Amino acid sequence: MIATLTLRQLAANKRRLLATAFAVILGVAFLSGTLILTDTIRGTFDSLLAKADAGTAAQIRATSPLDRGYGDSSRPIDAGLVDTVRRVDGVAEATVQVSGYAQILDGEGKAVGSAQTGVLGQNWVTVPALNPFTLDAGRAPTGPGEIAIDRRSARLAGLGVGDHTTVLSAGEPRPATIVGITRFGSVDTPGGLSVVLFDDATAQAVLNQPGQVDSVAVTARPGVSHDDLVARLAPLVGPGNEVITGAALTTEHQDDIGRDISQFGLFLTMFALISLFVGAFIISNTFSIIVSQRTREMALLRAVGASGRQVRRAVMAEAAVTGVVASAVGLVAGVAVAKGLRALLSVLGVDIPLGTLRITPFTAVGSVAVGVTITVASAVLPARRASRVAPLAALREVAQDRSAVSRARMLLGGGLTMAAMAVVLGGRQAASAATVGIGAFALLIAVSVLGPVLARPVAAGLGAPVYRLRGMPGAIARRNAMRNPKRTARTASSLMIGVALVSFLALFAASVKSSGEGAFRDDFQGTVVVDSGAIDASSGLSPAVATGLAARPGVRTVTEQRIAAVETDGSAGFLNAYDTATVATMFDLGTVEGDLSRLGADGIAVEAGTGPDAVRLGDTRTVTFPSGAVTFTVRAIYHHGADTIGNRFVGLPAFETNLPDRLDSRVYVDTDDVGAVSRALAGYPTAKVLTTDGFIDQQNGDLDAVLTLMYALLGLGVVIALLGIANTLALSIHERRRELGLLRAVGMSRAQVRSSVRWESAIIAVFGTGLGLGIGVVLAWAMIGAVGIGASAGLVVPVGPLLIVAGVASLAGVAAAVLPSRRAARIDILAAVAGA
Amino acid sequence: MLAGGPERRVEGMTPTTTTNPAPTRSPRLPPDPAPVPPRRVVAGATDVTKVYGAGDAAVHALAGVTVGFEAGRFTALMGPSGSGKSTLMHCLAGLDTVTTGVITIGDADLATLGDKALTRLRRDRIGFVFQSFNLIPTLDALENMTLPLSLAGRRPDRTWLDQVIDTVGLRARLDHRPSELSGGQQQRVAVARALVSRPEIIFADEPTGNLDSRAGAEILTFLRNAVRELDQTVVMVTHDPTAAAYTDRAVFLADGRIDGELADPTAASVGDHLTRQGS
Repeated sequence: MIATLTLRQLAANKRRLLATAFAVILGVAFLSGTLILTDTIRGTFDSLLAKADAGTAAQIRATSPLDRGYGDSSRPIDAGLVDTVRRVDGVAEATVQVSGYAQILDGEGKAVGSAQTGVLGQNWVTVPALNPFTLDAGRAPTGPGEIAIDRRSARLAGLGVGDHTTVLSAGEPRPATIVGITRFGSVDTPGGLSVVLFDDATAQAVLNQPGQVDSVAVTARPGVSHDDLVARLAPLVGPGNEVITGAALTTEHQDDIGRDISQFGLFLTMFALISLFVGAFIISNTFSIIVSQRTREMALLRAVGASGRQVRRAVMAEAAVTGVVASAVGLVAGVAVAKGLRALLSVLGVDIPLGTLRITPFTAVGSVAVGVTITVASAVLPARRASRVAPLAALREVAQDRSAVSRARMLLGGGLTMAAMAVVLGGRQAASAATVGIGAFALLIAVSVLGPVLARPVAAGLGAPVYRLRGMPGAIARRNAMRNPKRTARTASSLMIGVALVSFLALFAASVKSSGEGAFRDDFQGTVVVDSGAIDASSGLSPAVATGLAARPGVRTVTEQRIAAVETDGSAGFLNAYDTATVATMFDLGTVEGDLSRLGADGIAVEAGTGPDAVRLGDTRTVTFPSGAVTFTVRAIYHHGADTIGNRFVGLPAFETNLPDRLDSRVYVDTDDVGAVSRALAGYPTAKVLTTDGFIDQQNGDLDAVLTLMYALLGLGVVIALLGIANTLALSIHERRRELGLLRAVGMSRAQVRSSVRWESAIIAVFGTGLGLGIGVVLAWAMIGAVGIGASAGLVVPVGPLLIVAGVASLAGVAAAVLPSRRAARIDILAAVAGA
Repeated sequence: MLAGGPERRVEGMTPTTTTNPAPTRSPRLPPDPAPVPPRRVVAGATDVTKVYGAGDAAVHALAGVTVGFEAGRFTALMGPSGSGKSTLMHCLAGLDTVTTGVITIGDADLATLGDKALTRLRRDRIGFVFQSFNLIPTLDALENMTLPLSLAGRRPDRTWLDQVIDTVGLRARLDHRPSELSGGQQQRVAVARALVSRPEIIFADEPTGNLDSRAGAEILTFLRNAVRELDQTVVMVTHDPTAAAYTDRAVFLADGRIDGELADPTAASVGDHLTRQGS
């Protein structure tokens, strides 16, 4: 019976449940779309890599204590090893593998590919079974002047077989002729990587040192198992080297790519969950309103003998069915979202091969489960309220959701808010970003609980000027925003979350920029930054750039910087290496204890700490490079400039000893003639010559790009919140149709009705926006303190952007009211006033 | 109480069957030495029909009604359920449209007015008292009284407002919300609202339908005083002979047509008429 009733209710309330369904659909679509996309990318790469390594029986390489990325090497090995292993019984064929930094220029002298999308130079492996690349056009490169490039780069750069180009590498730029265009398995190139292929000898010379290679790969004779082969090779490879099977190599490559994809997926999933969190408020609000509008009906059910439990179950069942249907639709929509994201990524240069999208059981079940759980959980409280409807309520005049704000709520909400604030402040004190994050989540929930207590006075305050400005329609808007504090608060809460996160980001980013900029201007003593855009040691500028600049007249000082991903004392991070002879001139390092010139290959310079973190000369630091762990001795301590140059660095010889790549990430120059630097580097298009201002702009621009992406992703949450406002208004208008009819009868014009609904929406939106801004400011302040950014700059409040956020959110609130206000204005007066 | 003079005069003023498009100004005026001077017709219906549905399913709620309502008089629109009395009132008040025929309020032909003008007309020239749900729950008593003026962006005439408030006796309850007022008090606020903007005509739709007899009598007294002392014009839809006895004139409807009328009706005369109508 209750089941029948539930279905009938659903049928009768399709329209009211639409917003609920929509909130769930959007959230689930985003979530499942993210999962589908990441599974698809992962699946594509897994099979690509498996095929690429399929012929490899075993690989010999240097051991590494660190996980290495695809194409990364820890330490070169002797090229002669290939002849040794070739003679081993069971080995069919063997090849050297060489990889490193190489990048070509297009017809206009611009670099093809970038450090961000990935650039890679490799040798063209002449053993087909061991060569992941296949020729699409032309032939394999032979000799020092020939190269093959991937088909994607060829297409983008407009280059083809027979074209002449220039190859950038760790050495001087060198001319080359393109003789072949390659593909990688079924794709033009893996993941948008720009690939340049040389013959073995050229690859060693350009990417490494002659006689040195990254690894040696072998195929097995028929009947010889890979494991056997590994066992036979192991004694021959020498100390510090290892042999692994092709299968193990594949797994390693897959795991490496998988980690990146997971991080990317997690980033997107976080935003999907935020959308669902916002959606939860809308679902709860919709069910609350529906329950209150159906009070009489439920009372009637109780009067004819339904138990409170049955009534509750009916509401829960309604939520469950809504949740299942909406989640299923969301899952289907997720396929479209995945396709959209793939298209977006492809525009951004990340080429994801076309293939069927993978919808794993985990994605399907997980997304639907999350959607249903959120829907049902959000309906728990409204359902409980429904079960408490007294049978007598059926006999009363229209009982509407006129909930008063209870003292218990005031105490609970106030207490929770204080507790959450304490966690946030504690996080700032303890310099723990995670604690601030947990506190932020708690604060959002606490303020939502407290919301109804604030709603009435705040709506009254916000509405006062509206009253004065708009007269009676304004007064009615204000009273309507005040009449149901819970509803107003729940509606505003969904917007609050989006605005809090957006304003938090805006504030946080502004402070990061400001402190970074302040520190750089303060610390940098030179005039020009030559930036390669490199994010690790796998790409960068040839040291020839720095050497050439140092020799030019008018250049006072040149300082090279290199960067590498390492572990220091067990924690992963980046380590910089600087030219120790000039670093203290180029940057203001304050007082330097010890002697920078004595860093050598095993000395490290460290920022002076205080208290328990105080550093003494002679202390040691263990830095784990891909090639192994090295103990460094603190030979210099500096007191200034850590915000710009990092809180520790080593000399260039330390990198040259421990890393195969010798590329500068940046070169800092002190000269009065910026133009001369630009002219000198005309042949190095990857070298961006920037003044101090230009460099700061570029840094800020990079941050802005990330921010824009995050704003766009948060935008979905805001859209859901606006849907919630529109839905609440529509439901309220349905509830107030007699009142609206009466207003129209006694002379309220349609324009006045519309204006009244719009202003009500504006008051709710401004309420939510205000709360969100407040929370955003508190969280940004706490987070900046916690991560220790800009001890000098502190919290920077970007008034302009925040005003824009507030303005846009409030205007969006008005926009959300457009349809409901039209509906209100078109209400049938006669039906409303005569329907006594 | 079937006093000949006034009744004949009223019949002369407002012929119930003529098809004359301007029946409200009789050329025979003044017909006899009546004690009351001739009155202006504030609201009029001429040959009005209202049809719901079409074809076989068509229902004629009004089937050719011509009637006029004069300034300064209290008229009862009477008839059994389904007689069309409420439909006629809704059409006269600009809340509903007619299928054919002409409705005028003062010199305005309602059929020529768009929604904006019609709304302005209701706001400025018509007062309403409905059977129930007369007040906006979020506004207090005073705000409800002055609602039409506020919507027009006008301030009430203080003296007049005071007079109205005292007439309905609600000075002590001005800041109360409707939920804090009794049913009778709510209807008094509604009457006050109808009076405050000094409309040309007030339409009351079963204003005492939800009230006990004492509160009902109070409301009717207010309406009658509004006409007698404040010189207002009131048209009241009712099916209650007792209520009709407060009026100056009772117009009867049956099956969408005018079915006679009485001047200075009493409960007894109305009862008689209704009994005859029913037979």
